Parts: sequence; structure tokens; C-alpha cells
Amino acid sequence: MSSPARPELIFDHVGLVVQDLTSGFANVCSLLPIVAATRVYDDQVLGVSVQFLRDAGGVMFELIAPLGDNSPVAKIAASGRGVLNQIAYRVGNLAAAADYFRARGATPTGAAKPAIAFDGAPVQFFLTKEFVVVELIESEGASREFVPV
Amino acid sequence: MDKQADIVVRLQTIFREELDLPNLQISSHSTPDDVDGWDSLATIRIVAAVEREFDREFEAAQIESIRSVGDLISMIAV
Repeated sequence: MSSPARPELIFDHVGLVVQDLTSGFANVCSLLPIVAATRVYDDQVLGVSVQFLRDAGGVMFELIAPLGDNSPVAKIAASGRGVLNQIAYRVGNLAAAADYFRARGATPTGAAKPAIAFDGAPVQFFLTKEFVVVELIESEGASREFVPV
Repeated sequence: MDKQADIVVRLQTIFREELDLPNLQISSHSTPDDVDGWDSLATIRIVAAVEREFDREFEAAQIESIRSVGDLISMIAV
């Protein structure tokens, strides 16, 4: 049986876990050349509050803070281990991309879920064999609105 | 050694390696709340190691439902 072909993967952002968005936003903006940011998205389904930042070179960051008692990033935020948390790519067909990742030894962290920050588009996370978390977003393009900071 | 005891022994080896806790003792009742370093990322590293060790591939929904060592044992023992 042949392996599924690699789907088109379009870089979207690097995810950074912070203890809270207020101090995380202030610290990152004081350190990195951040030029624009979105509003905060509280996502009860994923258990996180997130905010997207764009730097002067066009690189996008997602600040991720725990939301709720069972947030998947609560222990990461508290311990500081794994705060450089994920690389996210947009894909046209999440199910096909998930099959591709699974066939190459990446392990899903759970089922696909809708993400508020992407207008309800499904997202799914995988841990690669190199222990890198990759978020796949089934979206042709995000509608997040950035304002200068 | 019965099947469940064998699974627990093999899981304990995986947990010790993935969490870097060489003296860790686990039981079917162990949860992330009482094992140091067992966070969401560790869960997935452990699942990946379990899949290799037991030559299994779990469904994403199964992985998401893991709350204890007992859940892992149930998934493996099926």
C-alpha cells in the first residue's frame, strides 16, 4: 500500500504558552519586534485563551494561556517546560493531512475540534517523532484582524 | 505474571523513561495529578511509546480520553 501524498502545508504561526495573556503580551512585545496583534480569543472547547502577534518580518506568533481548570496547557504554563509549544500549518483537507501525519509516525493529541480563532475551522494537534507539536488548521486563510501595537 | 501485571510493568518502564523518573512507581490508579511531570505533552510522548511497545495504533478520540494509567491499560488490553 502506498503512503498518502504530502498535502500542501502553509505556515501559519508559532505557538508560545504563557501563564497569562496580559503579562505574556507585554513581555513578548518588549522583547521581540512585534508590530501588530489581534484581539484575544477565549476558546472554551480547546481550554485556552489565545492572541496572535505579527513581527516586523511577517512571522506570526500565537500566545496561548490556560483557560479553565482542565486546560491542556495549564501544567506547561506553570512548569515552563514546553512553552515553545507548536508550529501551525493551514491545510485544505484536515482528514487527509491527518492521515499523512499518522502514516509518518506522528501521534494525534486528540480528535479534531473547531477553533474559535479560526472562525470555527477544525484544528488537530500531532506530536511528531522528533517531539515537535504541529497544529493543523483546515482553513484556506484566516480572517483574523490585526491592529498595530 | 498475568496480562494486566505484564502491561503495568511495561508501562512503568515507559513512564520512567518518558518522564525521566527512574524510581517512579505507577499503578492503574495513577493520574497526571499525582505523577510529577505528567502534562499533556508527556501524555502524547507516552502514547507514542506505548504504540511502539505494544505495536498498536490508537484512535485520536481514545488518546484524548486518557485520564489515568488505568485508561491506558484498558486501551492496550482490548
